[in-house]
Amino acid sequence: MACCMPYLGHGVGLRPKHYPQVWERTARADWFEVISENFMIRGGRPLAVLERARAVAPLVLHGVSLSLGSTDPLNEAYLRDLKELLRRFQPAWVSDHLCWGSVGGHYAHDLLPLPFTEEALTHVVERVRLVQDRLGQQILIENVSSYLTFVHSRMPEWEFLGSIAEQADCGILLDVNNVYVSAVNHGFAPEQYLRALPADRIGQIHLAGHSNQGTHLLDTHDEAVSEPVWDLYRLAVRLFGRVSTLVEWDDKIPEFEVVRAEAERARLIESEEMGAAYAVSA
Amino acid sequence: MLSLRELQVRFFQAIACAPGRGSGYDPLLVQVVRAHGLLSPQERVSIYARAYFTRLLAALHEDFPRVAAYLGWEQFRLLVQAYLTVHPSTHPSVRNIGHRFADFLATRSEIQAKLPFVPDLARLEWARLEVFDAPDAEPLQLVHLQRIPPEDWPALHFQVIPACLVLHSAWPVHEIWAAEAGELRPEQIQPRETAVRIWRQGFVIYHASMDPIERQALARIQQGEPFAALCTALAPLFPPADVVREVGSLLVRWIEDGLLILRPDR
Repeated sequence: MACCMPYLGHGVGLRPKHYPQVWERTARADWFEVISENFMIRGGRPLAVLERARAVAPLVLHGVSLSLGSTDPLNEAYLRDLKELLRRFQPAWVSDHLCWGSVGGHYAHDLLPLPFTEEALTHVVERVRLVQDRLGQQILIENVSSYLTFVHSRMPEWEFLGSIAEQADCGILLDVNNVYVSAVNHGFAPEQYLRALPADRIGQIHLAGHSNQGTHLLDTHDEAVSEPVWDLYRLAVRLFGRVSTLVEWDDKIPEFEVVRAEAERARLIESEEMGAAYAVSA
Repeated sequence: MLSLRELQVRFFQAIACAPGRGSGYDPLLVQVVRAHGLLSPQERVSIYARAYFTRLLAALHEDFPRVAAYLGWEQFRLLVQAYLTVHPSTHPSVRNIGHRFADFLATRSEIQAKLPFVPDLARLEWARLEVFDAPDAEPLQLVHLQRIPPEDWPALHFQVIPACLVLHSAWPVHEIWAAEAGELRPEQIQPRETAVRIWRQGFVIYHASMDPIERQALARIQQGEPFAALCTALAPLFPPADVVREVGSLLVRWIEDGLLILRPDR
């Protein structure tokens, strides 16, 4: 079975700065994605805003703390909270990252890199299966930006990601910006990464901005999507067709319309590429 | 070669052992980080160490802006370093990172010596955060009270909404909170026994100091006493002719603030 997420168009990552516009029903997007953990709370404005967002557009939950690659036991309380969110808000799907973020019961609140080994692959596959069993649905896993790799990795990241998706029967949230950032930081061709992924597993695409630190790129989500990332997105559309795409902006967040304009640019690129594909097939 | 478990334990230790002071050097960890490009393996680990501290410092600053203002940025940063060393996050949501910060500040001798009101200021800021996402409730309206037959009043059980907390402090913590940055110098701040209620009405967070009568009355409501017991307890505090009016005005104030609900058995 492949990944069969519905096509939602071009969405915007919903952040607290834009809650007032969601509340006033002036924030429009094809769909919204929110950070799951921000809504694992008991009441108050965020949950009310989420109810309202869901009433106007499809919703997707995107987690940052499932810690799929951690060697700690899965956090059962977290899974219960996530399941409760699924029950209440009925998102189109739920996703998290191919990384680890906790060990020994301590959380780094970061997306830490895994070695691409058989041991890690087997471990993550088992954890993704467990999570999917527990939630009763397929999840998407996202490639992360990284700043180091391990000497004992035995396969490239794209093979690691694709193998996990196939073996665990989950989908892939392809973060095009993360591919680009890691490609620059580790010296591989980002196009090679995209071409190696199993197309039928790609359920969603992320776009975001990064910053250049001189010695490396940092996945800061604090500016517009860069031109090389737009080029890579164009290739992703060519390779994978129409895939629900979302723009993330998490720091120095501009007005909602600026973020939405980025989503519109993604729509235009998709339309150009798909138009070209139709023209060729005709 | 390191097992996955050992790698993760060492990695976390390297980025979190000395928050804000770079990464710990672990030769076994550095050996398994690939060397290439402009950065050494240790510098690559340090990127994660910097991100760890920067992220959590920003989260704590967002949760405790007035504490940070009183401390000054450098002292706040140093205290956050010490706090994270002792209390790394144990919760998947960064929302909870500051839950022990006030108690931690109270243990610091430099705080007790120079800024002894700061731990309670931190408690107030944390209480506002707790109230922000506390469970929702449908508060009682005055119109609801008007529908209650007089004979039912003695046995009425009011409850306080979940999004309401009471903070007791030896300092006028609400005044310290309200002061503009730099308006109050620490030496101007004198101890004064204070009780503050912190609550959410709609989506807005408020806090207000309570006089001893309101403090006692609200405590009795929170303890589940019926209305008649509340009146009996407060009666000696007022002239007999004023008891009903005084208790009534307390009730009206609380209801206008959205503080009360009726116990479900009503």
